[in-house]
Amino acid sequence: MTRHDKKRLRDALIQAVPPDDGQAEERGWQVVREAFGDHEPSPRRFGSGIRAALAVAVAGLVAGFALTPAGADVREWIADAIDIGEENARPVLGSLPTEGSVLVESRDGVWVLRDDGSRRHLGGYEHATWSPNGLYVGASRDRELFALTPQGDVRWAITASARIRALEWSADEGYRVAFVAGGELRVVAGDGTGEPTVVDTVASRAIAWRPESLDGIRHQIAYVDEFDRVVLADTDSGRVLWRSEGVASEISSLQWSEDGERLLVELDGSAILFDAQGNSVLKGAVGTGTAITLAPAGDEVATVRADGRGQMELVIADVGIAGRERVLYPQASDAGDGAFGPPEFSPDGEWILLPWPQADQWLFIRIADQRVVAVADISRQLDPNLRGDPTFPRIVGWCC
Amino acid sequence: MDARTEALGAIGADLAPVGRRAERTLVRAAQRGSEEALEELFRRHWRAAHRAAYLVVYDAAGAEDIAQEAFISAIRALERFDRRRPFGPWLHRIVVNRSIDWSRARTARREVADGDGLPEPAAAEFDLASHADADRVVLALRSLGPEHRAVVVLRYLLDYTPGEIAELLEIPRGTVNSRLRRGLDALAHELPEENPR
Repeated sequence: MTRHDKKRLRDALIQAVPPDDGQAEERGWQVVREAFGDHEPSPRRFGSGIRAALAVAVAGLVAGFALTPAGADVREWIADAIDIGEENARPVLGSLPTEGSVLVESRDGVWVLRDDGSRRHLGGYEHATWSPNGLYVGASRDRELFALTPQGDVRWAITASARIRALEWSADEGYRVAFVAGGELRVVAGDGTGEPTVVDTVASRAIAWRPESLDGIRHQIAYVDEFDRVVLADTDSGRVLWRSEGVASEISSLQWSEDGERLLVELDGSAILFDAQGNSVLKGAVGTGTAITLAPAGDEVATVRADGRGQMELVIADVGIAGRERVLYPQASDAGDGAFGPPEFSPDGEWILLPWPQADQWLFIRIADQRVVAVADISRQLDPNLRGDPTFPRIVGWCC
Repeated sequence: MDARTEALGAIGADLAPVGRRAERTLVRAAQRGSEEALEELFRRHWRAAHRAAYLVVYDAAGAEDIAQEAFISAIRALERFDRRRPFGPWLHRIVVNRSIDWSRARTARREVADGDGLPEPAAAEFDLASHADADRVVLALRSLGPEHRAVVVLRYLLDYTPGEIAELLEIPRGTVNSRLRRGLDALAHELPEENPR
């Protein structure tokens, strides 16, 4: 079936209105409303949001007690009782340990955290992405795609034909923005002008622009086609440069090395490393439910794994030499895989930011000497109003 | 607004305008007994749920029953619903699984009745008078079995990825892919060429 046929199919399904649709909706609502009248509403109870608020209050008490000798005993007692997270975590997210800015999505929207400790809430957006030099942030809200300054001003906006499910600003200087909407990968110019062009239908939200190569090749993007094959295509010409074999499980992310020579394909429980010509150069298993991140230089990966003895480890491994790896951060945990979020490299490749949702902490870990700088209470700091359940913020990228 | 945008807007479920109350808030309010919140959830999701059921079972009365029952089933399980998860996939899982069951049951009944018990739904049942091409495509879809139709509807009407479909239907991802591929191949065979303009 051609792409055009698939578009006919999609359009036809959308246009296929059941007979008596409007009356059916009204009948449906009457039936559902009556059923709801018989439904016993759930009593208000202390949800995790309240528990989190209590935790904040407890944290405040701890800070107060820390000033007095008597309080020290109480602090130790509470730490023993909670027993999760780095004990000496900083209470406030201040300056970053190295240069760059971190782009974050919390339930409250998109944030930019600067290395000087300042932070800016850009607004209620999702699918945030850095522009190549961190001058702009791309983000979406339903069908609308926005280019924002890091101060939150809207530079331009376009409306897509369907809800935007993924968004990625080109990694080169070529000014392109790719997005997934309506099951299709589309590309629009980086200044928001022109009509979005359709590249292909896709099976995954994982997309990744190839960084500009040494010979100046631009506007190439990796994505996952309808049949779970990784594809590298030139978005200007529409030419497919290569397609992989189909893979057996969901592809959760695609990541290029900075030089555009290696592409890491992350699946559920494993990862494949391709070279720029589409040859699979490395395959390996990683923990299910965890994440693997390619270092900017493309020569190492960072991943979290369970060691089989109730301990989680952040490991950095050489992709060229099997078995050459270092444990950067071991942590006893009975939570198994998924205790930590995806590790994120700093732009200079010297630090890793490791999210620890269970402890509500971020850990900045220096690769050279495993120095750990922990920051506590991340959820509240990036969702100051704390309305309802807190959700742990997602790190989008640590940029230049 | 082009025709596709307009049509997608009519589906509604995933395309709530900016500024409307967050779904999580609606679910919480509904859990606490707010009929207003329930109605907004219902209005957001009815059309997609009803249409999905219809395209799997190809029977107007059956689709209406399935969509109603899915909402009622969702209400009864509302207290156990995890608000951090989106409401749509939860509802769609119920709708599509019930639609498949309904179609299987109808087939079984027809076999018992030796072919003369239940008439096939008439093609004219579709309100597609102004969409001749869409009419042909939807009729071609009918040539597939309900399991294949369900996967095609989840993929192309409700915009789920194959991995998400596998989770929704609790079947292996490879099965989703093979059903999609087989469904699309069959549809390509059934689809007539477009009229020259």
